[in-house]
Amino acid sequence: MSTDAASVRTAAPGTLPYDDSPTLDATNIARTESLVKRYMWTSTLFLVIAGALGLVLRQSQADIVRVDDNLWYALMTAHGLGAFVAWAGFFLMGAMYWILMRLGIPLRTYILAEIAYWTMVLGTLGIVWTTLISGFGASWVALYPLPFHSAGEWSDTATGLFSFAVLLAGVSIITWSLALLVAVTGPAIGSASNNIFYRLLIALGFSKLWPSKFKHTNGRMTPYPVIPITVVAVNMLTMTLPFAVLLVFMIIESIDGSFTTDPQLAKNLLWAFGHPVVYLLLFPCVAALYYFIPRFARRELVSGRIVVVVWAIALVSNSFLWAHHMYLDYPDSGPQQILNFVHEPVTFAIVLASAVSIYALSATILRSDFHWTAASKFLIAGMAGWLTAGFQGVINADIQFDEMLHNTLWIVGHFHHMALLGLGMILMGVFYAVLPMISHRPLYSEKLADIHLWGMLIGGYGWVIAWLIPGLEGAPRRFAILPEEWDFWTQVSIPFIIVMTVAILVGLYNYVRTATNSPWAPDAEPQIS
Amino acid sequence: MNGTQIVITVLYSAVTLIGIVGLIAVLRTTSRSSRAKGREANIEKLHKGENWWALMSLAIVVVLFVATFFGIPWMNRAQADSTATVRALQFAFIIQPAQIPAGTVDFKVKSDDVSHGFGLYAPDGKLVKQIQIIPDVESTMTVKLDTPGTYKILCLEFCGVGHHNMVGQFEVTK
Repeated sequence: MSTDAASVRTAAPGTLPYDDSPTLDATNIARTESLVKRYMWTSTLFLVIAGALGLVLRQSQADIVRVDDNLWYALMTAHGLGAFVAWAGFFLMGAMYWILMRLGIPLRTYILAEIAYWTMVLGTLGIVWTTLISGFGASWVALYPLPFHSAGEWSDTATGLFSFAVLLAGVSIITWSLALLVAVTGPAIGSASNNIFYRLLIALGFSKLWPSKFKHTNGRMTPYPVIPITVVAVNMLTMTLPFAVLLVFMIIESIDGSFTTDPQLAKNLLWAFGHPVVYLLLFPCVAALYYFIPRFARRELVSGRIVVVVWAIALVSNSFLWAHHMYLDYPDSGPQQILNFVHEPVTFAIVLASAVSIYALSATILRSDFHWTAASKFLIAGMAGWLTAGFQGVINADIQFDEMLHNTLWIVGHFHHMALLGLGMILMGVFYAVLPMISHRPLYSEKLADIHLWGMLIGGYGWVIAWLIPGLEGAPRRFAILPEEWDFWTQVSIPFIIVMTVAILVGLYNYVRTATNSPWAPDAEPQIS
Repeated sequence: MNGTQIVITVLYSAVTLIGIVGLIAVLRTTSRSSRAKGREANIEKLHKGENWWALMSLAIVVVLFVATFFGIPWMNRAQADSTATVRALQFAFIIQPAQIPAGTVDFKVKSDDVSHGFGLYAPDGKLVKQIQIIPDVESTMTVKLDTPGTYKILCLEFCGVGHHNMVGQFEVTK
């Protein structure tokens, strides 16, 4: 992947080479940029903390400096929630405000975005406190009734406080979803009807599918990025609720021990949220690709009506696929076997949105005058990671394959591959694209961005392969001390982790220097409209 | 590796290779030398291709789903030659009997406290099969064990501070 120097030279500093953003109100721009900056920098701080915890976990498994067993599991709990929700999810929540604003659909109510911000910050601090100080170490899934069987390592009060902290993060996700839905169903979408369901279907792109029935008054079809944003907002609004109910049950039980929940019901409530929350990352990343790739390729997204169909399928299927996390729960009595069987084809169905999106993005890039920058390189690398980790997801969705892979290091490799080398790379590309525009300062260094990129690719792939291979042989996950037959792969991963850590630090340095760089000269500053 | 693990390795390696080669091929068409040849993207054709791509993707996932019918553990049980009961508790397995004759075995698993995992490893250390152990509810895992020797059980569901020490074993005899 080489930089096309000519195309870089012809673009104004910091601008995207092709932009069709409608004229926006200056107050909205300033307010959204300020908000987005806060989301992005706070989540990046959480990346530093969660990443450091991850380093401690892996080096301890490699027996460099071994940490106490319960501390290891408490760190694992904080690392999982911190990296997935407080870094990646939180960052993308902010990024979606920016993308909507650029598409001429700014937030209509900032109070929801503020609530989402503060509840996520407080929830994250609560998680850090209850894990690192109170010793809560039941993993991020806190599989009921484990939080109340701590073997003396933490108290029921710690369980109640942890549940409350996670509930705050859930409130953040719900209010964020509401903020998005209020925006995409508002006047800016140009719906011909005031009916809320009609406006929602317009936001889901139905005017592309059925133009005679679903009409816009503003002469503009629903922009493609709005479709996955609407889908994730609806999904997270509905699928966070079952988990919130479970968390409330756990808070009550922490106060009154006689109040208990059925473990199998609890597990279903957990995964009803636990899988859709993956799409809190994936769908915003797809929205970001829909937004940025056409601009770097200097042409419209090459997509038609089928994309609306597959996103509608994703919207429905995302609500009925959680049982693929429970394929290996098949008690002799009860409905779980049927639920698992029904959720398998639904799980496969959600692949269609990814498959069609990868096609549309590739077709957009094909034979285009593609503009290579730090941001676009990260987005392309992220697409590659999404593709290759996505294939693992298809394998995991198969019940008989899952029997070999469930709760092995393969799964750990898969989600780190997807979350960091796929979605994380896209997220970092978004940061490289957005930061100069919201800071009104040019990127500090393309060269450092290249070091960041290649360090992550080399370190990252070495790092996940050292999980995938032993996982395929049955190496168990969530072991503070792994059986010695898998020590080799733990040792192999360490140099790759060092390379990746250095690369991320270089990237963070580049971000910070960009934010403190000298502002653009007035005539060089990118124009919003 | 057993047969399933080999299938996963081959399948994943093949599709990943195809995917990466395809993506690189797309990116190569954006190079100046490639564009200098004057071949423009046929957008109309690409639009039509999107529908075919969606259909092909749908066909693949339907095939994958149908293929799993033959491997769903609770739908494809062989007649068992013997039965063993497994009680799991933080942080131990109680397996009865401790010696099981070679053949097809029904493992009746149940937990006294939290969720555990019953990960069955062959004498050569490779994972054979697994099932989740649910509190107070019995589940049955059927597996054919032809090779005599010591089989190890690892807990494959995180169950607390002693999770990594939760190990059991039994003998398979001729």
